[in-house]
Amino acid sequence: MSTNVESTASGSEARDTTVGRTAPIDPTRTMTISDIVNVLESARDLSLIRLEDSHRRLDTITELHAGGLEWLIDQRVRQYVGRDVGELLSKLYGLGFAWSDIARMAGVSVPALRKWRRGESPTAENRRRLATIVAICDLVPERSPMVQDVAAWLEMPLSQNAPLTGIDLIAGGQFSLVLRWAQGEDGEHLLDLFKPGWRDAYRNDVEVFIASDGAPALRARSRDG
Amino acid sequence: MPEPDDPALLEAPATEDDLYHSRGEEVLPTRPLLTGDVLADVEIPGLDDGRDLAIVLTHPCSMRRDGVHLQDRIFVARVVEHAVVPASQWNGHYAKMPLSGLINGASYAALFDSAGLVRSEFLIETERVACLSEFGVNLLQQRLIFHLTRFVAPTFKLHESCVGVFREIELHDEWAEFFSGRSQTPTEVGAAFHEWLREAPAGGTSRQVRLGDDQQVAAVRREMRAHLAKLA
Repeated sequence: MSTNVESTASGSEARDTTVGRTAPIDPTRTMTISDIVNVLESARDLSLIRLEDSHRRLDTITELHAGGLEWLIDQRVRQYVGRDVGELLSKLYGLGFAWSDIARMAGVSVPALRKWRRGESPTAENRRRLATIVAICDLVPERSPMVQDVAAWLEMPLSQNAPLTGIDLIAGGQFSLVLRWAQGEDGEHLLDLFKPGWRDAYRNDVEVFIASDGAPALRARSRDG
Repeated sequence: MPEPDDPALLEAPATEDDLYHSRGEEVLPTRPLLTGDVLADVEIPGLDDGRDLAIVLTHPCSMRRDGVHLQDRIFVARVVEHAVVPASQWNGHYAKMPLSGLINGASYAALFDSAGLVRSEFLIETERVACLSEFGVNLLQQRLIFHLTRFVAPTFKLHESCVGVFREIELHDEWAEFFSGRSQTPTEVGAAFHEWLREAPAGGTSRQVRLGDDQQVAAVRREMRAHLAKLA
């Protein structure tokens, strides 16, 4: 929106300087429908400008907020990166994560993780990654006291329309998005930032149901919803 | 969770490592038999091609008649050496499951047209050369379903339907690893695990059922780890 609108404090005059139109209104006469339309047009244009300004401010604040979260994560990672790998793995084990999920978040295979558990040293990069996972698990309940079981919380999908979880965010290196989710940001908005095509990728007409033998099965989703 | 590029197409792994849970010496001997396990020296009745590699096709939820003991017969397919199938061609080769880098970097494929039922007692005595990852099992199921029905089942939905079994197998691995080197046989270890897993408080839900609940699975893992810590 590039329209440039000026308005008097009383709102009795609106002027669109982009097109050079002025719409002075004589307060002593009854306003016509045309006058009212002009006033409303000016008010609308002014609101749009303010809205755009608010969006710009929101973008700036969001960027600063994300930067602040990254700083918080980095500070916490520094506390853990020098710790023994066995200690870091024990902490994640104690929280109730599956070894396969720890491996996925760390970006390594399950057998590679098993070697760490048996004393083999990870690379410096992998050690930092492990420290970051522990840091996130510390920070989530600190930022959101509602989250009491961080392992369970990270296994929950961000949206009922896709199976993507907090563990997927960590595996994808999007650590600050995890903290934003913990602070109550909309899960689907965060997925838009994480995987812009997720809505199409996970659109389907298949649902899981429990069959008569008690085991899960798949079927076409009911049209009745 | 890997994201499907196009839900209307058969999916492909990003790398061959994504296909496997373990290969060669990485395979845990105590791991229960599961869909996607590749076994050596399996004779498939009706094929008349002797003993060779085979992959388990039976669905994870249908392999055990009581949750513990294998069905008498398990559905398997022959695995043969095969040229690498690039990711761009996974939406083809419909009668096969490509198995890139299966053994010592060599590539193989499972042939759905060369399949049959094998007695489970033979399978559990046979060397396992690889186990597919959860995503690998989902890909195998997607391809087999398409081969049999021309229907594309999304892998993430296949995963959702099997997630309880996958979690159970992983917990079993952990349990069996704890008891490895002790006097119990694998069957005894498996029976003790399932007894523990099926325990439920009066009027409550068993741990086995709770494994299917995203909100409770971490708590079940913690309970098992605390239980094992007491036995240590």
